[in-house]
Amino acid sequence: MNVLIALIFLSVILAALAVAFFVYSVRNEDMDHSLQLSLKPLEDDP
Amino acid sequence: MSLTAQAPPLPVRPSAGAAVCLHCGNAVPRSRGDGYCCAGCLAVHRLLSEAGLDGYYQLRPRHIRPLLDYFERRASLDWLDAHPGAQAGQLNLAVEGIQCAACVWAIDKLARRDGLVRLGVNSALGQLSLRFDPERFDVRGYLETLADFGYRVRPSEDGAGADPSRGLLLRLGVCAAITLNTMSFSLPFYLGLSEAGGDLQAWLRGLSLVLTTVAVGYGGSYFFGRAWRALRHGIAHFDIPVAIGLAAAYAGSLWAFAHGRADAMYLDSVNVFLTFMLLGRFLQERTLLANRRRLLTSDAFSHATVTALDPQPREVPWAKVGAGQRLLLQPGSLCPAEARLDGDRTLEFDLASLTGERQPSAVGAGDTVRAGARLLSRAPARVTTLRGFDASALAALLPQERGHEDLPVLWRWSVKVYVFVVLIAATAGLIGWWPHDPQRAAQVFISVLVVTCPCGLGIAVPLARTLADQRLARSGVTLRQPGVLDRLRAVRQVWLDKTGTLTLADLELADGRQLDALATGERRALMGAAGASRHPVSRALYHELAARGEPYPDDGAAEEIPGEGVRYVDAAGTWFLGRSMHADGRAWAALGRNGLAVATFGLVERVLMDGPQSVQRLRDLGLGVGLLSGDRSSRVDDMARGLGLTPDEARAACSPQDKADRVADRPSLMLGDGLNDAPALGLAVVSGSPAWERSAVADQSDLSFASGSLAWLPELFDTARALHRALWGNLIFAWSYNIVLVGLALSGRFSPLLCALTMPTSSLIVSAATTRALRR
Repeated sequence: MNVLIALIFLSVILAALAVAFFVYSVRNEDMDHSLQLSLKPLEDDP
Repeated sequence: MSLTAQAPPLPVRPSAGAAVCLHCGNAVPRSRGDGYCCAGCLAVHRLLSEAGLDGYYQLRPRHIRPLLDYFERRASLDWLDAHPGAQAGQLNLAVEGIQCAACVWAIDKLARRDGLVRLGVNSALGQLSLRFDPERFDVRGYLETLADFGYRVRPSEDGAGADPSRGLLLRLGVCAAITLNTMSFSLPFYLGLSEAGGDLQAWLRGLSLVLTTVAVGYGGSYFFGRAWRALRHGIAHFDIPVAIGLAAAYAGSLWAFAHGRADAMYLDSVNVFLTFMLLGRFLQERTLLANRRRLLTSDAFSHATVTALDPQPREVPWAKVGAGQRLLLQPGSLCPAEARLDGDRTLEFDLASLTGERQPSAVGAGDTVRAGARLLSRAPARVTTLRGFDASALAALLPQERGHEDLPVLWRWSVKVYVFVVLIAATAGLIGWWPHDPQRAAQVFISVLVVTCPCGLGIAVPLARTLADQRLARSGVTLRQPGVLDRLRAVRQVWLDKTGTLTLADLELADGRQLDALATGERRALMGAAGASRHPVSRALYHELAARGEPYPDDGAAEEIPGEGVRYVDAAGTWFLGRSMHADGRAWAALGRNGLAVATFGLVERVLMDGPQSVQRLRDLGLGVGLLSGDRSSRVDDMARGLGLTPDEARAACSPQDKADRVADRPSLMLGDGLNDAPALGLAVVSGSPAWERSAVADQSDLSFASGSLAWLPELFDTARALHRALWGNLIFAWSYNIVLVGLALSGRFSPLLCALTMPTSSLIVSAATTRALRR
């Protein structure tokens, strides 16, 4: 049972990290330029 | 490139084996043998090849819009000199012309080539943000390059990247994460985990409550604030049942948690509901923002022009009009700034475009003409501005944002009564159950509010409008007035003007030597007559003369006779610029003096593509189609044949009153562009004008279109009908769903598990049905 509770906390921490990355991404305006970012893999190596 | 009226309009979508344009992928007209559908596509294709950006064609979709209006789209970059961002190295720009990922790729590549430090391209909202070193980066050169490639830019109206939907996106992301977690915490209970005792159960319920509290506090505050403001102003707003349902479900779940009543805990449902509501609202905000920016980019003051007379006649943007400037206003034109009327004539102006009330008033020589006043007299007006252009004084001219007006009346009424029906049902359940079981009464009250949360309605409307707007934007249509899509359903007849509507805006003078052959006095008179009208024929002659440095004469008096031409009187006699009697396939204009012909001018018209197919599609939709033109019979008949119209459906030599009478006969959609179309446009159920028409009728029409093809017209009706079907389908579903589940809730048979299943299912059903109905 204790392991399950530890896993719950682990999942909550992972979810919190995901939310933090999402907030960072929105503040960095990544969502505004999503189409531009999706083309990055097509760039030639410098 | 020129498509003449003699050549039958060609399909923009290529048939099997037909040549396709190397740039846009559309069909190549038979009159061109160079592999391009138009000169604009040719120019941009060559530029892309020269810049080594052939990768563009690997990224673009099969078809993009042809660049038929490429040469008319060039906008001035004069604003850049005075823009503080150009010196600071930080610019936020609105950009028009981005169609696909290939455009984003090309804009990005060009920026890298020129050494730009940082570039952001928001293709959804048409926004460009530039960060650069002003010493090392030639921002003007870069923007001119973008213009060469067909992208038009101007300063963003709403500041440094301001995006009101960004806050909603943050709320949505946080609430979506919490929803997924609380759903996973609730799942063990739905799968049989006992509620009784145990650390695991307590942790799962406790964490769910904490996370839900965060979601309601952060995400829900958006709805609570708006509902509170609506209540304070006494408005039955859609946010009120949302806020009530949210608060009741959360408070009830809190009460149930405190009393150990798992049968009344709706924590996962609260989160699902909140997330779907935020998603719907986010879509709505984005649609409004994209629509606003599209309108500003294509139609607002930045591209409105007026004729300045000094030092020689030229078109200047309204924004460049300063105090003390002499302007020439053609009949139907708006005065862009407060000005004094010059000359010795009294002329009639109207402020209807600003006040909404038609109040013609006489303005004497030397009197003041208000900014935004429209010249009603048939004679042109010379004015001297008293102040510079002030956009805030003309705010009423800006297109209105659309609210709920595109929704059918019964739909709007339904949303309003929803609030009261929900509250009455919940209260009835509370009162009905209270004498028997107070705890059950509270549970019924909460479950009614939870189950009637307008999840389906909240997401269906914004999604439907987003998809409808995207469809129309792809077709080059911008709705300028509210309720257009709803009103379109009443339309039974489509009337089309010919010149400037079925043809592109600018005619071209077939042979410039015709002007060079005129005597000095004849050229002056032609300038006096052509400069006094905004008819496409006059504009073509005026532009050619202005390009040759011909000044606008001060000594003559001009008067436009709608549907006929322009009379100009000077010391040499009475001149008349009107239609020519020459009969060939091209447009001809004639200049005469004292009743004798002086010169004729051949003009080349460029006809929109997709004509016959579009007319047939309109017929298939049960609509009548007709052509109303002031032009002579042979040319109108040619155009009608090209469109697949019968002789009865084409009316030549129509006066403005003839057109108005026809339009008044049946509920009509009228497309027109000139002063002679104004009465008919005013009587039409829905009116439209080309986006390039910027003075006479554009700000009064319901929609504007910018496309090299007429295919947008049946697409407009298809979209309106699809939107109507989607909204009604969702309304019927939402009421049926609510009636059944409210019945269950009132009978005390509703449970958190049932709620957890039905709420997301109903939202997904309406989303899928809406997408299916509006998907092209």
